[in-house]
Amino acid sequence: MEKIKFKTIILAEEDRVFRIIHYVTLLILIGFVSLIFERLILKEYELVTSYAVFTSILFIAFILVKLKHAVLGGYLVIADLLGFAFYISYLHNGLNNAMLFAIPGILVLAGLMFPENEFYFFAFFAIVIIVIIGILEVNGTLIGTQTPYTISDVFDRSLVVLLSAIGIKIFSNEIRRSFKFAKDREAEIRVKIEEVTASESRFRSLFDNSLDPLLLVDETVQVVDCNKATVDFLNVKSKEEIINKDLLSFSDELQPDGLLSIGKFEEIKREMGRKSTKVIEWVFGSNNNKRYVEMSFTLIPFGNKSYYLSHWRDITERKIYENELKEKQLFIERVTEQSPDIIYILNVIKNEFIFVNQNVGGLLGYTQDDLPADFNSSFKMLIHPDDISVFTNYHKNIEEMEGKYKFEYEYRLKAQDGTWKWFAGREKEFQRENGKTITVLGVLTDVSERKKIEEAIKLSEEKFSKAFKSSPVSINITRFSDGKFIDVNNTFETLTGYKRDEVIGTDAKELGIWYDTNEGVFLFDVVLKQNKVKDHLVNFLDKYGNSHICRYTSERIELNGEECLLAIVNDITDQYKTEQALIEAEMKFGLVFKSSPNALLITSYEEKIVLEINDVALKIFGKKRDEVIGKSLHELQFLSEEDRNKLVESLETLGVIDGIEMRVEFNGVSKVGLFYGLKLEMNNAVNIFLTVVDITELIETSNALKQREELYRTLMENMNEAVLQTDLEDKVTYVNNRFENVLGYNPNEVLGKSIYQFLLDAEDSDFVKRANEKRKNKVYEQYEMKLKHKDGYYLNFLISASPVIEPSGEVSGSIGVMTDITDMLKAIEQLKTSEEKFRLIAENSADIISIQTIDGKFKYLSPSCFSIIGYYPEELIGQTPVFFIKPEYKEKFLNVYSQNYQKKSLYTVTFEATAKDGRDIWLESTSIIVKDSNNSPKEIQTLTRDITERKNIELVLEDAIRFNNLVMNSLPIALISVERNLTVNLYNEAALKYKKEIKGEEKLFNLFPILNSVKSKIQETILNIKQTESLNSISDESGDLKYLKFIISPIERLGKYGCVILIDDITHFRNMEQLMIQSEKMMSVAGLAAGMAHEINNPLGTIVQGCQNIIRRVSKELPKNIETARNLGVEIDLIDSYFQQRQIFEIIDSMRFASAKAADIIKNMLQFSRKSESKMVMYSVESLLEQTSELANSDYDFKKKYDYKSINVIKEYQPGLPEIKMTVTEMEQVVFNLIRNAVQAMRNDEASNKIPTIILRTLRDEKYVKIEVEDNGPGIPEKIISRIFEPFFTTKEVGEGTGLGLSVSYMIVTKNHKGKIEVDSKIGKGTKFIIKLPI
Amino acid sequence: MNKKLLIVDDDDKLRFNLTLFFEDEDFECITFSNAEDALLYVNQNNSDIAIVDLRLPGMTGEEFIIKAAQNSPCFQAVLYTGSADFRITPDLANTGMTKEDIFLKPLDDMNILLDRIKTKLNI
Repeated sequence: MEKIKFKTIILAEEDRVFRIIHYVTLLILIGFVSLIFERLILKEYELVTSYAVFTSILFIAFILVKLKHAVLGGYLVIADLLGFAFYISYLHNGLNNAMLFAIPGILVLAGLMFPENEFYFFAFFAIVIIVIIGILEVNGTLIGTQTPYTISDVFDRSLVVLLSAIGIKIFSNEIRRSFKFAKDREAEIRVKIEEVTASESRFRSLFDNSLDPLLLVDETVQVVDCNKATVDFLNVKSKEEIINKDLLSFSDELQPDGLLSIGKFEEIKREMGRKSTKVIEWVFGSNNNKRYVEMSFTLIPFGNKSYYLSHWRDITERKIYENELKEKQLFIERVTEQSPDIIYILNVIKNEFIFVNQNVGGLLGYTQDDLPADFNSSFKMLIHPDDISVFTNYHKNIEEMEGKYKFEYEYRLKAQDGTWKWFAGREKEFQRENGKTITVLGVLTDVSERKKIEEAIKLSEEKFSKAFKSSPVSINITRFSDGKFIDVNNTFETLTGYKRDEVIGTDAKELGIWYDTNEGVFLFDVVLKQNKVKDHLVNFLDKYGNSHICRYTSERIELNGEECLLAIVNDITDQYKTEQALIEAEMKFGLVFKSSPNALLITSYEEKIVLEINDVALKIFGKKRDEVIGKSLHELQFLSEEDRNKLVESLETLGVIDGIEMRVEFNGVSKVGLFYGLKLEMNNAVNIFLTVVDITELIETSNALKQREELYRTLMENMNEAVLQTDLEDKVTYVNNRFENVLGYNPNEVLGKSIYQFLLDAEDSDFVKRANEKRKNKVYEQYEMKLKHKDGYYLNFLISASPVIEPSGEVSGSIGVMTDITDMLKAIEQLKTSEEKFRLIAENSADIISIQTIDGKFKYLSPSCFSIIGYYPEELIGQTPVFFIKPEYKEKFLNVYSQNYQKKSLYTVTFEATAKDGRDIWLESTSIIVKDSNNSPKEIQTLTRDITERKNIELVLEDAIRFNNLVMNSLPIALISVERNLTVNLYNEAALKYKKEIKGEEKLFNLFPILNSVKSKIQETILNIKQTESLNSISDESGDLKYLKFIISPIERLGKYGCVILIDDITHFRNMEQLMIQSEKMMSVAGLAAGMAHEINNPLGTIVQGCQNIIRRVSKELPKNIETARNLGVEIDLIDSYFQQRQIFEIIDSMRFASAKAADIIKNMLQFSRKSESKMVMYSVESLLEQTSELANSDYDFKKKYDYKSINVIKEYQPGLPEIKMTVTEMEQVVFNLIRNAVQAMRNDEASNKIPTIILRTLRDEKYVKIEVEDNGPGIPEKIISRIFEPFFTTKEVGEGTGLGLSVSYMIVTKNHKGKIEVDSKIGKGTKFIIKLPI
Repeated sequence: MNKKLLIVDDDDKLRFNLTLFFEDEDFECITFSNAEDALLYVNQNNSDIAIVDLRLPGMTGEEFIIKAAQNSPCFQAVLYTGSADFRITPDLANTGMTKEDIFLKPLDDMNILLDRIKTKLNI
């Protein structure tokens, strides 16, 4: 680029020279052209040709100049001109002449090579030569000149040369000058360029060495330049492979996303405008080696061209993470999308759905396009408006759930086809922040089917209730047990006039709705026995006393587990009344007609159309009334044509038909009738009244009847069923043989007897009476009845009862065919019971009873599966137990199953399962594989028991064992359990200190050598099964004497007696015991001391006083002493000096001191003997400690020796402690003692850097108030800790303590206050004394 | 005039030493080895104060003080005894004695006793 610039500058500078040359050349050219024209005009054609040559050369020169080769062109012009001059002279004067010009010409030309002065020399020299040549020529001495020169010629030529030389010179000078200037400019610019290049190279190196790929592309996305990082990134060998290539050519292997195309690039360019930067993402490489690049493009305008600097950033890693994240999300989404349920996440604070899986589309029939883009937020729109409150209301209270949030509900969602589908939802807390539930995760399961069924049931119930309510027929429901009304419908209300509310709870009797109460009772009984009554005519009274004739139908039903009576009452009063009225009206005319035993019919006279016909006649026709009325006799084919005419003839001739016997055939039945007839005028019309007396039977009866009866009788006699015929008074008129077989009665016994006398139970009599009553109405019926056998027991019969109809049509009795169904009933009963039994067992069993198919699928489950595993039987039908077994038990379960598959025996498997609500439960299944008759497995019967409790107990037991071990091991007492053969079984941790480490050793006495001392006792225990004890003192390894108590107890183990050895180290206890003994001794000594105290104190008093008197009497102060001494001739000062020098004062002091100590001992010893004669008062321990602490503070000794005030005293008093009965001075003494010991101990421990600290503490436990005095002194060595309470035991220097302080304290606390004093000390840490005083 | 001090103690060495001490302090010391004699004296003569031992042959020091106080209301005394566990009885308290008036043998510094007596006598 810089080079281009440079050239441009050079050209600009050459411009002027160029222009001069250009115009000069052009002028000359024009001159030449004009010369050519001149010669053409002069017709010197020869010259034209040669001129043309020079002109064309000049033209070339001009072209050269035009093409900016100015210098070359310039020189060519000069050469051309010189050549022309040479040629002209040649033409004029021949070669020689030409040569004349040639030499000076060449000289001038050569001179051009030189600077100005030399040039002029050359020019001058040339002129000289010309002059010489000219002179020579003029003289004609030179080579054969054709035309000799004249002087003017010479001058002429010299002038030409001179002028041309000057011209040339000026011309060439101009060129030179220009060139020189241009060269200077070039140099200048070169410097500049170098500068620019230097700075360029800096940027260049930045560009080249950048870690990120940098590329320069032009507007066509051609790579102009790139850096090394690009080369590395694109994994090519060198830059050259990239440069000048289309940037897009690297996209051959690009992934589809993020492709950079020309179009895209154009877009980028557009978007960028002129100055901005644009970033896009790009992918390189193939699947396994994908590299993601973020490319930025920056516009770099350059001249009128635009370049783009492309900066690539490798974002592969970021992309990989992003993609992984995306994939994970995708995975989760896919999982949720594939779920058959709707899964959603709901923000309960904002009540907005954050996520709803797309499966909602599948479940509700929406395609992807149907769902709005912001589906999550619009999911709520799908909820049924009636149900949305379920949702919102519930979530309002979510804060109160405190994280135990669990929500179950049902609501409807709108499906694509506009229907509502039911969903059961379960929600659980999903996210929680600051103790608040933020989002919940919900799962919705389609329960539409279930809902549909529920709806259907509801609907049918509704339908029933609607039907019930709105039925045009009165319906009432009565409870069986007490006859009270449960419900009645509207029609009942209108029928009876009673309101529903008045009726319910009362009974029919109370209301008085039965016209005949007995009828009500009767019907009730019928229903009770036969379960229903149909179309019974009854008479009801309404509220106002009006009677209603009704058709009564009732049925026994079960309602809500109660036996009820559903009664349908159809009011037919009006109908009945109409009928009655009609009957009454007709009575006048038609009573005879209707009730006549003979067939009667009325026909019109002319057409013989049947107008009226009675039942008997209908019977003859074998047709119904409607089929006959309105039809002519001809149509009905009543009688033959001949017979009809006979009747008409008789009627017309005689006016009547009087007993004409004719045979009538209908439906294949032939009957003989006696016909009577007469003309009858009715309603202004002439009719024929025809009477037919059926005499068929009369004719046929005599023998036919006999035959038939015989047939039936035989049939009855041989019937498998018993047959009983009664007359209208229910007396037996006939029984068949079977009757005797079945019921044991001989026909002769019972004939003529009333059936109520022998056959029926009294309570059934009424029923049978009423039933037989119905026979009179020709009612056939079947009922069950128990009948009494002759031997007194009852049998159950199914009785088909029919009326005995005499040929006259009258009912003469009943006939019953009785089938013994006792056995059948029994069988049914048994079956029922056994079924019931199984059902009851299964339904009421606390265990799950199940029947599975051979591949394990449940066919039946008892309801208890709900209470145990939370599933309803319906939920598990078709599933296998694996459905609820925990995955870890699956294999075990299946193994047991397959092992037992071929066996017949029971097998049991225990496993853990997950209940529906997520509880863990332990189940034990006992199964048997039932085989069919081919001995191949048919089904599995299983009893599954919830053994969670048992398992829990097992766990508790384990805990208990662990607890026992823990207790055992934390006991300070060694326990060793031994088998009968003296091998060690068990031992606790405390036993370890007696145990020898011997590998593989089990023998008691080798493992526990210490037990050798009680060997005989152990053997005694094992042999005699008796507990033994032994107390041994044994020296341990360090030589200290230890007291060990052994208790050996027998213990039974699997029928054999071993023993448990208990080793209790009672050394400490023993020491305390010893101390007690010693204390007792001390007390007796003290008793003695009390007596002696006074006696000893008196002489001690004398000694002490004596000492004081001695000191006083040698005192220099006392005037008496001075006087006495002076009287004896001695100065008191001398005596004093003497005493001083002889250390008499010290002697006296030592005596005083010794006496004081003796007195102290006496005083302390008295404490032992003190029988608490001093007063015990209720006193607070806090005051006690405060008082004592104050005492210590002011104690002279303390101040002087121990600097008590410098000790850090911490008081930790538990507030609210009760007052304790104590002798305050004694307790003060005790506490003071302890404080003093602590202070002394810490003073002796001054080497340590600890701040001496005493903690005074009060505490309380169950029975005691505790006072603790704790220090952080050196602690008491273990060796002496057991002796500290011993009287006269002291570690203090002689003179510092009596050795009685702690023992006196011990006495005060234990004897006088019934308390305890204990010590707890750790070397280097400190000592704590604990005083326990009983409350 | 010198104050009259009765010393009642059956131990004559002790008595002697007390006398020596109090004579140096310008008391007139009258000594008795038993209470009966001392009581006789008190009934017939005036005295300022008495140092009384508790355990005496016959009448005890306590009885002596009580009786003496009954007879001569101005009678004052301190107890000087070897019995370390003695406490003031109510009867003694009635005579105006307090626990400050009880001194235990052996008394390490007699000046304490002296100070008390001086206090009681308003010296």
